[in-house]
Amino acid sequence: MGQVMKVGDGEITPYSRSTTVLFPGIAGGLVWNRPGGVIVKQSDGSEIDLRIRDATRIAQLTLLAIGLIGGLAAWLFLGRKS
Amino acid sequence: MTDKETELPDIDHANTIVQETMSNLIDSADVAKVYGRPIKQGDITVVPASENLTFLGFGVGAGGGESTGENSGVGTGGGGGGGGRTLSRPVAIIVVTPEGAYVEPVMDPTKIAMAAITAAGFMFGMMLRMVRKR
Repeated sequence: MGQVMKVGDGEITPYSRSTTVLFPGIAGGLVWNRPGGVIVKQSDGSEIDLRIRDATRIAQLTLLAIGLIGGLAAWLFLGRKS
Repeated sequence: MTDKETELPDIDHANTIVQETMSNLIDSADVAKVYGRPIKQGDITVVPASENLTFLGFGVGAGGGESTGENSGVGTGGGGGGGGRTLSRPVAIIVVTPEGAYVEPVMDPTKIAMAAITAAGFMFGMMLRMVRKR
């Protein structure tokens, strides 16, 4: 959870999702930090959890999955006939 | 043989650098690193959000040696090296208005086009290979 930001009458609390990989025996590592969403607290006291979706990554993975399925379909339908 | 000749390079200093660098790497997992400062324009406030990928690796070493032969001598040496990179790209913008808040995604057309070309290339290549086999 991040710091609470005061916005107008309400406040928002951002949170992130992070993956840390530290390689054993090697000085170094990898940190993948991405936004998870924000919890919006409105002036009436209600809270909404706004999830952040990575639209670019979703589109990339969808297209790559289509390519993989398409290639597999070509192998199944064209390759097996021969 | 003087003390200076047998003195090993300052390992403590190297260790301090390693610890500081590792500490900075761990700090990059903090929430504050992916959200920018809120930008206010009239009644609307926007908060940019980005994705960060940081990776690094490095090593340091030191050693010394002494020869007892005819041409005897003493030597020490040390060194280190490393490399790393941070990749960052915008993911979304959080827009807060008096009516409420919503998330506006940030699309990267270049990355999407590259994925589309890769997928199409793979499918086309597979089809061509199968047709040629016949």
